[in-house]
Amino acid sequence: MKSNAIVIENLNKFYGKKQAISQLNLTIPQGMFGLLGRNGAGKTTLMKVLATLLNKQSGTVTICGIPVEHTKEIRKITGYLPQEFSMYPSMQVEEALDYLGVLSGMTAAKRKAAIPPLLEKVNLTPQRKKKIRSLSGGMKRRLGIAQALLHNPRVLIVDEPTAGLDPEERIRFRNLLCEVAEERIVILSTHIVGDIEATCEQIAILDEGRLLYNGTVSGLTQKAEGKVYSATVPLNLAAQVKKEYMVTGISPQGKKSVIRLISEAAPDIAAIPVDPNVEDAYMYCLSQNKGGEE
Amino acid sequence: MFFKECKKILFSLPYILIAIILVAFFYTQFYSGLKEDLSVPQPNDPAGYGIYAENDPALIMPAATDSLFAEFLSHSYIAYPQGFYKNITLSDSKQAQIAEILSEITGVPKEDFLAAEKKERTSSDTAVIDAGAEAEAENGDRYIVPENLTEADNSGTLDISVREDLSYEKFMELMDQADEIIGGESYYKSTSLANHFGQIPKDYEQALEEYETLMESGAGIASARLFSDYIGIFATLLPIFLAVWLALKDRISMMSELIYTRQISSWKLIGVRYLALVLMVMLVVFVLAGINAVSIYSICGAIDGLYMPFLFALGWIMPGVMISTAVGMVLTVLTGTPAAIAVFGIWWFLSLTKGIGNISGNYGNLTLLLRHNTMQNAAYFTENLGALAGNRIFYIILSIVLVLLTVYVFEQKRRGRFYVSIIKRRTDYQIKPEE
Amino acid sequence: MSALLNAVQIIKSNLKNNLFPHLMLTLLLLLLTPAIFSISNLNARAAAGPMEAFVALSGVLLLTPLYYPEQKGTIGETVEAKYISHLQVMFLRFLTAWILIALAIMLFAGIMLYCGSSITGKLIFGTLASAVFLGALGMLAACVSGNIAVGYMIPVIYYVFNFAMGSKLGNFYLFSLMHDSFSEKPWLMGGGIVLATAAFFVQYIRMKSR
Repeated sequence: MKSNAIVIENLNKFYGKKQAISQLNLTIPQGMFGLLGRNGAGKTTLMKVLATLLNKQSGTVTICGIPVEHTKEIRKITGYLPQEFSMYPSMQVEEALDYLGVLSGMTAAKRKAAIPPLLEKVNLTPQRKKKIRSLSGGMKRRLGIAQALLHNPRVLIVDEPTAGLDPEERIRFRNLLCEVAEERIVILSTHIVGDIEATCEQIAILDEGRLLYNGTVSGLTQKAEGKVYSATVPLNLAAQVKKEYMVTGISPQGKKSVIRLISEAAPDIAAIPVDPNVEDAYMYCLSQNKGGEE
Repeated sequence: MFFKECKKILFSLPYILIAIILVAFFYTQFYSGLKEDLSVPQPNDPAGYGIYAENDPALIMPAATDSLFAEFLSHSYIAYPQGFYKNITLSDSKQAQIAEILSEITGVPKEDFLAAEKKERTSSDTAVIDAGAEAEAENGDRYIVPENLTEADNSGTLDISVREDLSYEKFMELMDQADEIIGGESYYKSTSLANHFGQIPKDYEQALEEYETLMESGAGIASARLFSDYIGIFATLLPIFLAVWLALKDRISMMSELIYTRQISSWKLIGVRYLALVLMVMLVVFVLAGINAVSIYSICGAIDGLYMPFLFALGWIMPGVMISTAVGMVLTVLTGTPAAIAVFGIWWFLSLTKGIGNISGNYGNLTLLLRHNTMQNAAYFTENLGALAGNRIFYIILSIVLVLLTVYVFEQKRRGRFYVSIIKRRTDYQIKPEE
Repeated sequence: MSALLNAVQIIKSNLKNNLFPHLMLTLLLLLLTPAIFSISNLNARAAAGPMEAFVALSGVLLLTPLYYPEQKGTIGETVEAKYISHLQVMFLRFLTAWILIALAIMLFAGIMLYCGSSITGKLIFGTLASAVFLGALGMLAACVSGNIAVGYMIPVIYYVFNFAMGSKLGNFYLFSLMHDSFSEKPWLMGGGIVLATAAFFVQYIRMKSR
């Protein structure tokens, strides 16, 4: 049985002189895998390398045992959902799915069998005759995931799928991905920590093309243990606190602010240590990379 | 924001291409002839002094009659509707009408003409060489068949000399009739008669006189007119590409949603864009106007009217740039496609070809492209200055109206109230607010 | 077999969604032609007028926007990540466009024939050659610049230059049949094929070196 994992070794990718990915070593197992990082961290670049849209400068990447250079084979087993997915505006939903199915090398019979249940699954059946240009953002996104799943790929590469969706849509999307991840590798890239928290077992954090963290979510939060504090300060002092410490949350409460901050040592102001959440841990991890506070 | 837009345009590929094309056109078509046009003619110039069209009845009447007769015999008349060469074949009844005209001109009975024509029809292949057209000689060389040489030899005994008592006015009337029968824009249109049949070479005295008139009436303004004629052609066409490119850029890079939700007012956004587009193109035009002015100075010295190229760039060329840019913006914002290129392209093309009969002076009928393809003809300019001004003002106003329309459409789209598909089907569709 | 069926599906889909508006524009062009040119009872030389000078523009209308559909948003990324190479799809689109151009030309030639004009095989081929050359010029410009406005600009400028300085363009003069000369046409056809190939080559290199 082929290994169901993506193995990345010493991956380097440049855009001209700029290094987008630097000496990346990562193994992505079956299940939901979260890729977290700022904008420009290299997440989309990595996704595109895996989707065979970009070439690497050096290193090896194998997907389920197949080297990424074997483009056609890889494309048979991977499904890609780009950021801001869109399709030809004049196509109808069902038509678009069918066309993309053709491009995936599926026979007419297979397409006919696969499309209706898929539309059901992403809740687009009522919209199947609607033109792409008249779909809302959420509907487009769902169509995007449908086309990525259509040929039953072993690997699903999803780039920032929930950005711009309303909370209801976001949750629906996450649930869908979780369902799908049961027998596949699903790589989800995002800068919304909440997505990761809810769905991913394993995560990796990228910053400036480098791997900062690779492990479980609980492992990440553990690292930030003892570094997160909560302080209640008068409103007029809040700005000052922000300047001096890395703040991960502020909630005004009447004439005071409850500020959540990260500090290596106990802060000067009156604060109580609290359990870190994923957001705190993420910010802490990023700050470690910078070697200081923002 | 204005400077940002200008910078964006300056470094864009369409703009660079436009600049290159305008400069190349300027140098190859206009600049090269400038020295010659503005220099004092020299006596005994081996190159001659060019030709001019003289309304000399003694010259024109026989030549035109010969030509009409030859075409009559061959049933094949040349005309240039829309500026394109076309071979007209007349029906029998129309041929009879032509015969009638020929009869009136020559005094020879109409029946004789018809008989000769019949004879022509039944006789074996007569090579008909279309007068004035290009032909290929046996050795492959191309040459133009001279106007006055026709295959009139086969006419046999018919004497087609013009009646002595025929006045020139009557002759022109008859020629106009013939032109109408043929369908217009033939060689026989009275206003074109001199051009086709009255060409004689200029001599030194005439050239000198012309030169002196030119200097008196203002070499600066004459050169500026010619400059505007040439540059105006492309300066009116090219901005459409730039405008379409800029308006599409939003859609293609999906910035439209970002821009729709930003605070900036539609007026400001569209207005600044429009200004930047027009000014950047005019920048190139002004530079060329400057080069024109400098050349005039170097050839003629510090004469009056050196500023004329700039004035003309502003008054003559700029309205063309304005309308092109405005049409580009409004149609692209309206349809989200590059359709403006096709629409304006056709308009421009029609204006160019329709005016091809009168390129030495044509400001009339709200034409898009004003023509004045000669250093001379100052009289036409002074007489029709009103028409010129009216024309240009019309286009300025139209441009502004279209820009206002663009702002309106853009604003409506922002509010999600307006959706126009490629086949212009309007739906009251509310775009859901994206977060 | 299924590959063939898939190819047909791709052609159908591209025809309906990506080529359709441009096909409509081409038909509009054909409708407009008689309004500008007379098309009845023309001899061979005069018939070349509307064909070479106007109907040939169908090349620009159908070939230049070949790359345009994928330039919007991330459509390009979605289709390029698929099993069937986008280059293949582009080639099928190109063939379809070419066939449409030929059909448009023949349709118009048929109409002119019906109106009593003299239409020769040379004229049809000649018009196709001019059309393909102009279209491929636009195609290459649009592909290299990634910019549809530039894509349209280049063939239009070339077309206009043919009016102003036609004789200087030698074997690539678009309106040669209006002067009874056919020798330019094979050059134009060949040139068009070379330019189109260059466009595909540029696309290929781009895809390989990303």
